[in-house]
Formats: sequence, C-alpha cells, structure tokens
Amino acid sequence: MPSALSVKSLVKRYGRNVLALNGVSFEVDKGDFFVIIGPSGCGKSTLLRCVAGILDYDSGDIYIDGRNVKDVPAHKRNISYMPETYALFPHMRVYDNVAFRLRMHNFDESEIKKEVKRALELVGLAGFEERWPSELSGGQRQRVALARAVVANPSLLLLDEPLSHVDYRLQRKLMEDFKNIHKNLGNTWILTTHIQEQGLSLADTLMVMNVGVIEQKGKPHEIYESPRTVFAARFVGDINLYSGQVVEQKGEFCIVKTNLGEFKGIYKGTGEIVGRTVAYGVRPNHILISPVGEHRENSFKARLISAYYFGEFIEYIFEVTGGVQVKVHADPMPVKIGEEYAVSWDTVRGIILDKPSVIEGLNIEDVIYGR
Amino acid sequence: MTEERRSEAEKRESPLITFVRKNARYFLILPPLIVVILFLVVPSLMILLLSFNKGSVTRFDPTKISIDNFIAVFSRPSTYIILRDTLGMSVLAALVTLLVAYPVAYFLSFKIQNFQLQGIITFMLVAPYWVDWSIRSISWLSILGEKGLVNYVLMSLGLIKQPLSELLFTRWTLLIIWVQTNLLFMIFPIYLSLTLIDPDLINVARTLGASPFKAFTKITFRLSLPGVVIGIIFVFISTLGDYVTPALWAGGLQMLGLTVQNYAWHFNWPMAAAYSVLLLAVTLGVIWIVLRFANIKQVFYK
Repeated sequence: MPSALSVKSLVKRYGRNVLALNGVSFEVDKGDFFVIIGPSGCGKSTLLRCVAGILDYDSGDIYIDGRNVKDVPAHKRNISYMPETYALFPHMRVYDNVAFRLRMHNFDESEIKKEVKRALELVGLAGFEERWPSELSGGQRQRVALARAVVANPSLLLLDEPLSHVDYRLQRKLMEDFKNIHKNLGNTWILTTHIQEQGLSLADTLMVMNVGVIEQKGKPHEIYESPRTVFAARFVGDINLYSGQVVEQKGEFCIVKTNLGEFKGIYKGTGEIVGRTVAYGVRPNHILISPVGEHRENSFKARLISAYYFGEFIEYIFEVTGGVQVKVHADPMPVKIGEEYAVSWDTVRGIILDKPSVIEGLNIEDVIYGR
Repeated sequence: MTEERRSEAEKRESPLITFVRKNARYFLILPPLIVVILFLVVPSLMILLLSFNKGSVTRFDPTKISIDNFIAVFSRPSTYIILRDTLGMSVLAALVTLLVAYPVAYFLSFKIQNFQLQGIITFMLVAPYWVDWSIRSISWLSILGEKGLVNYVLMSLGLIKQPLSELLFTRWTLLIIWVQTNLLFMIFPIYLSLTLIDPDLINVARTLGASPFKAFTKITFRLSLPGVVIGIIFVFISTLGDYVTPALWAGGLQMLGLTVQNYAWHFNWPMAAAYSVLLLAVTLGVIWIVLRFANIKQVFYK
C-alpha cells in the first residue's frame, strides 16, 4: 500500500536568498493524524502549500497516494486545505461554503443537501446553514471551514495552524475534537502548529521542523523521551537544559560535568564523546524534590523561588547559586518559597545530546540557551 | 467638571447654544450640504420648473405652465432614435471599457508582486490625464486619421489595402475616445476590490476542486463585483450627458446631451430643460437597473 503522502528532497526558494525548504523528505502513512511542529518561519506552511498544489516548488517530488503530483493541478489532487485564516467565502452562506466542493464535482442537489447536513453535524453546527460567515464567531468559522474541508471525504486533509487562534485552554479540547472527527472519517490529516504542548500527545506521528529541515519524526513519546537533537528536545515538551563536558563514557552511560555539578545520564548516539561539549537535559516532571541531606544520585541543593499553579501540576522554580534555574513539575507538596531543598533525578532520565540541530555548524550552547 | 455642575451650566446656556451643542455632529456636514443645495439641488429644481414652461423664456413664468414640451419630446420619432443611440453608445462604452480594464486591473493586483513596479504602472495610467483635454482630443487625429498611426500599422502589416476612413468622425471614434477617457475610472475601482481579496480564498477554492476558470468566476470575479459596478456607473455618468465629445468626433450622431445643448444654443430653454429632465431620468434609471441587476446587497456583502 503506498503511503498517503511521500515527499522526496523537496526544495523551495523564495527569491534568491531565502531557502524555505532545504531538501525535505518524509512519508505519511494512510489514516495518520500527522502533526508538523516548528517555530514560525520554519517552512511548515510552505510545505503544506506545496503539497496542496497552490505553490510551485523548485525541485524534488511529491507523491499523493503513490501518484507523482508534479503536473497535477490543485483541483485534481483530491485534497483539502484549510489556511490559518480559514478563508470562508464571504459572499456565500454556510450552506454554500460547505457545498462548494460538491458543486465543483457536480453532485446532485439532493446529495449535496445530505452531505452538507452530515458535515455540519460532524462539526456540531447543524442548523447554521443559512448564516453568513460574518455572523459567526471565530470558533464557529473554524468549524465551518473544517466542515467544508472534510465534505466528500478527500483522501488528504491539510490544516495550517488550526490551533493558533484558539485560547490556550481550548487547544487540547480542539485537538480532541479533530481527533474524533479524524477517527470518524478515517482519512489522512496533516496539521501544522507552532504551539509546543497542547494536545501534541494526540498526534499519531509528530514531525519537528527547523528552518527548512526536519529535525526528527516519530511517535510523540519517542521524541519526548529520546530527542535526537537539542532543538527537538526544546521544542517537544518542557526541558531543563545545561551545557557541560563529558568526562566519562561507559556504553550508554555518561557523566557530564556542568556548572551545577557532575550528572549521570544516557547518551543514545554512537561514537566517542568524551571531552566534548554536550547538552544535558532533564524533563521538569522527572525531577524529585526532597529534604536536604537525603542521599540520591544527580542531586544538588537549590532554593525554591516561586511556584505556579497549572491545574494538573505545580511548576516549582528553583535557583542555584549563580542564578541557574531548575524547573520542576510535581504534585502539590508542603514546601516553602525561600527554603532550600534537594532536587534530584534518576540517571535514566538524564538526556545527553551532542547535536544541537540537524542544521550543520550551530553552536550547541547557543541552541541550549535559545540564543 | 462633575455631573451636577455640568447640568447646572447647561441650565444657564441659551436654548440655541444647547441645540447646536447637542447636534454638533450634524453641523459638520453643513458646509458641503449648503454647496450641494445651492449648486445642485436648486438648479435642478429650476430646470424641472422651466421644463413646464413654453416659448423662448429663460426664467420660470408661472402664468405659462403646460406639459407641451414633454408632449413634443415624446411625440417626435427622433427622440427615440436619440435615446437609442445615447443609451446604446453608453452601454457599449461601459462594456468595452470593462473588457479592456478588467485584465489590466487583474494583472496589476495579482501578477505584479513588486510594489514599486505597481506604482510605476499606476503612474503611467494616470499620466495621460495630466495632458490638457483639447490636446488629448487633437492627438486622436494623428492616431485615427487616414495617415494616422492605426492605418499606418494596419497597412504596413498588409491587413488592409486602403486606409480605413471609418476611424474618424463616426460612432466608432466616439466609442474609442470614450473608452480611453474612462479607462482609468474603471481600472481603479476594480483594482481596489481585487486587492481586497484574500488570495487564500482562491487557493482554498482550487483545492476544493475548482479549476482556475471556475475559481475566477465563482470567487475572484464575484468578489470584484463592487468595483465593476462602481466602474460601470462612472462610465454611464460621464458618457450619458457628454455632448462635447459627440459634437466633435461622432460625425453628426445625435445624443441626448447634444440635443439639450442645441436647444439651449437656440434659446429654447424650456425644451432644453425638458430634454435635460429626460436625460436625468434616463441616467437615474440606468443606475437603478445596474444596482438592481448586480443585487447591491449581495455585492457589498457584510
């Protein structure tokens, strides 16, 4: 079975100097809920537009359902594209917006009626047929755009930044809605986002992009637990990152000397890294807080300076002499701001990364500290 | 100032000042309103009154009221020929102007991404209008004349053997000149409404299965209709009442504006007024039809 989408060495330039896509290659399985994540300007929208057929690319190939679409115009690709602005047709009522694809494919009026009703029910907007787009709220507009995109079940759905205009709290809910509709339809969805946390765990596959290149592709938990580069580690989930030198390497286990002390961790790459400057990372929810004096591995003293309530967890910020901060996500516990505690983590939670990014020539410390 | 003190101050001021202060925003439109009433509404009413007089009067005479002028206007077969020619030429001019202007506006707003180049082209479109009207008119001689540019090009290409003589002093001359003079007023409103279209609307239409042509008719053209309607109205307004261009270039073709001018020239002001009223009615009627036809509410969607 061919993959739903296969992109091979795709290159796209804007003008002479801007390289938006630098030879991107990846595949998307049929029926996948595929999320592309990356900072703004990384080329994810460009990629989506090339796949949709509304933007020319310089070289490379795109296969949709095994067919090379180089010479296939947008209207013959059997795909749907939903831009960040939703782009509802302002001169058409909700009904006619949703019916657009069906009309373009010459469906009977009775069938159009049935399909539009089904699509609007799917997004929870039954009864909105006669409204004008200007009479809808932002959320309703997005759902109409989604209904218009899924009607007649195209094989590939491309949603550009569907979460960016949504309230932080609603992002997860929206992703769950998308996931349910996706399950209902069974086609392939590709979403882009620059928002790091909300609902990312719902993706079947996650692809992290950095300026024109793919940093890592995999299941969300794979990237979360075993990021391949510092960039991927920073972009998927929260992480405490420190630079340091490798002083010892025994198989996967390494000891890294940082400003905070020597920490043990896991290096999943191959090759000798002793003496090299690397990134040592630990996720905030893998850190334990305990009274000073208890002996644990990867432990040091730090002063609690603030705590933020997040609902499912509390974010504790600790500071070590010299101003270095450690972020910890944990359940509420009887700790006092201003007191000193011991923070520690298991060695298997220590992530050691020697590559800042798949982009060559970056300084690892710049990427670690987000410079 | 507190609420109490303000209301106390209000009690003390004269009713006139209170009135002015409370309706200040309406007074803002007073100066233009006065100009419009004085120089547009009053003269129009005077013409309307005058059209119900008879004889060689130049001032309304209440003792000589009759509808004879209108009976005369509508009983003359020539009136209908004049009406047909005036309306026909105006409609034709509007359509041809639209056909010429639309591609220019489309090209300007969608195909030229360079902002500077857009400015240069816009400048080149406006530049001819800075040339004096009479000079622009005379230059048509050297373009459309028997030894003019058009005939020269057509003959050197071997497309014609004899120079075309219909180019000058026929209704086609009038059409060409009207199209040229109105082109800019068609291009700009269309260009503006095209630039307001979110390109993603067209992109989305394409991915939903619309061919480039369908996307154009269903989305682009549909959303540019406000510009098209405004452009057409501009052309109608400037051509329906025009009498100078027909008098100079149309080779004796009678038009409504020209008829008005003829009667006024011969001091039959009441007849001139009657034809003026007819012209006004026709102009308003045409605009009404255009707005009706284009379904104005849908054109200027919310």
